[in-house]
Amino acid sequence: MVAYEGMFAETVMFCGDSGDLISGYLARPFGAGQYPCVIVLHEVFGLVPHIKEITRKMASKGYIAIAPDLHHREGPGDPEDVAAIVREAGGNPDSRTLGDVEGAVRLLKSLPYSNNKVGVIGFCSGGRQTFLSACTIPSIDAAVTCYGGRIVAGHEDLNERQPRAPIDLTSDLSCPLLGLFGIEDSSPSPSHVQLIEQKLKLHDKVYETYVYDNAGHAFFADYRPSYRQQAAFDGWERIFGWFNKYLN
Amino acid sequence: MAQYDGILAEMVLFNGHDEDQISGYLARPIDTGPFPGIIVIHAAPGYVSHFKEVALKFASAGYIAIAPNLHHREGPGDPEDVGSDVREAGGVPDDRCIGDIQGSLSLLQSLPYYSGKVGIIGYCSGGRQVYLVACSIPSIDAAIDCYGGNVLAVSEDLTERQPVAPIDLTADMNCPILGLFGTDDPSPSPEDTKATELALKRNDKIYEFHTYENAGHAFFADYRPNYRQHAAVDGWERIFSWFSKYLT
Repeated sequence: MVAYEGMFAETVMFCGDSGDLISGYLARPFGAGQYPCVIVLHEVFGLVPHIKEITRKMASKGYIAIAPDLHHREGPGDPEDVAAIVREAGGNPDSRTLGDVEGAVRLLKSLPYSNNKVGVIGFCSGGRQTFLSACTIPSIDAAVTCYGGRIVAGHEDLNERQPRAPIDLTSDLSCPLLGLFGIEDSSPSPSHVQLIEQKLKLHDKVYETYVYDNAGHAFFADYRPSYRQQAAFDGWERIFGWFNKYLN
Repeated sequence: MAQYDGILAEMVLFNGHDEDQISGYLARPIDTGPFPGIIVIHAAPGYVSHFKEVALKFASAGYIAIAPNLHHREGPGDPEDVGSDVREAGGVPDDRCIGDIQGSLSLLQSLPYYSGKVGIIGYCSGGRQVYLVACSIPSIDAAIDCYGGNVLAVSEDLTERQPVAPIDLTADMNCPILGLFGTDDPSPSPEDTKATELALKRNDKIYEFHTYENAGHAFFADYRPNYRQHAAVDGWERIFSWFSKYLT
């Protein structure tokens, strides 16, 4: 007999920062669980179909996954147009992002088929937000940052919306962190990655980082020329290995 | 308000060739429809998870997608192991394949949210099977052959399991066919696809063939080194516009 496998994915609304109702894409296996949970933080380009595909990929591997639309308040509209509005305004305010991620954690923990363990993964700007969330929200159990830029940020990078360099919060990191990077990336550059590693080591954190050869920024984005099959294939194995280890 | 986007996907069992019960992955939008159907035929390496992802992609674009497991009878087991058993035995018998596709179509026809229009798409050996099926089952409304080899089989390629060269059935082709190929592919080679095009033209069929530079066999397979982002992104656009043109 064939092993049964089923998945359900849909747009949901839930309470984010300040109790604002925001949307997200929730994908989950069919079954009673208990399933581990993953929050997927989209790139600076918004909740595009690629991010929904990643969310469904997590569900097909046995996770309840939610991709909150961190640009919900600037929408509705074509994700790329909305993303341009957000970028012009100076990016997502960190406090709002953290409130939205906390809302996603609450939603996941309220589901009767969740095992109450929650991981966060983010790409590009979402990689930075993953680092920030993992240092700020103690209920996160595992984190994966994929080429998050400006975790290391100089004064000139800081502003009212994003007032602190995530790297300065490293001592508060409350869960194991996996970092996946490309050697040809300029943000984060390999030297940024080294600085992050040094800080993690200094604070005695559980972490692993990989910098892939022949890969730059956004090597998981299979719809863009930046895709690198080798790095993405290996990266997915590491991602599932990490979440499997820390969310079960 | 955010646009609702929901899909449901699961393994199903249905009657295929000779009324054998076979399995498939059925993915569909969550709504009353009516939605057109798409039958997704997997490649020779086996019924691997990539083809479930393809079915999910169609569902999220508003189609009911069914990906029958044409290797069901040789399973259960790891899809790649089962795939190699099938290859060793001489491939999927054509009559069984056609029966299984007919069964997939009957399944679609039983769904109250099905529009009555159906397309078929296949990759690698599935591309050849698409050609065969489009010439054998009159109720198919649109077909897409992605790098199907052996459409032009010569007599030494023919076996008991695959007794006819699909190209010899071209006169019976009863729906528009889109072909997507790579210049670096040895099977089908650019010469092979030119010959197929010529046969379609001679028989006054509706067809469109595109052969991508810097791409070979399996350029849609994002989990394999064969993936070519430029060809895959353009190819997906052509796939969606082909089905949208002929199925809605």
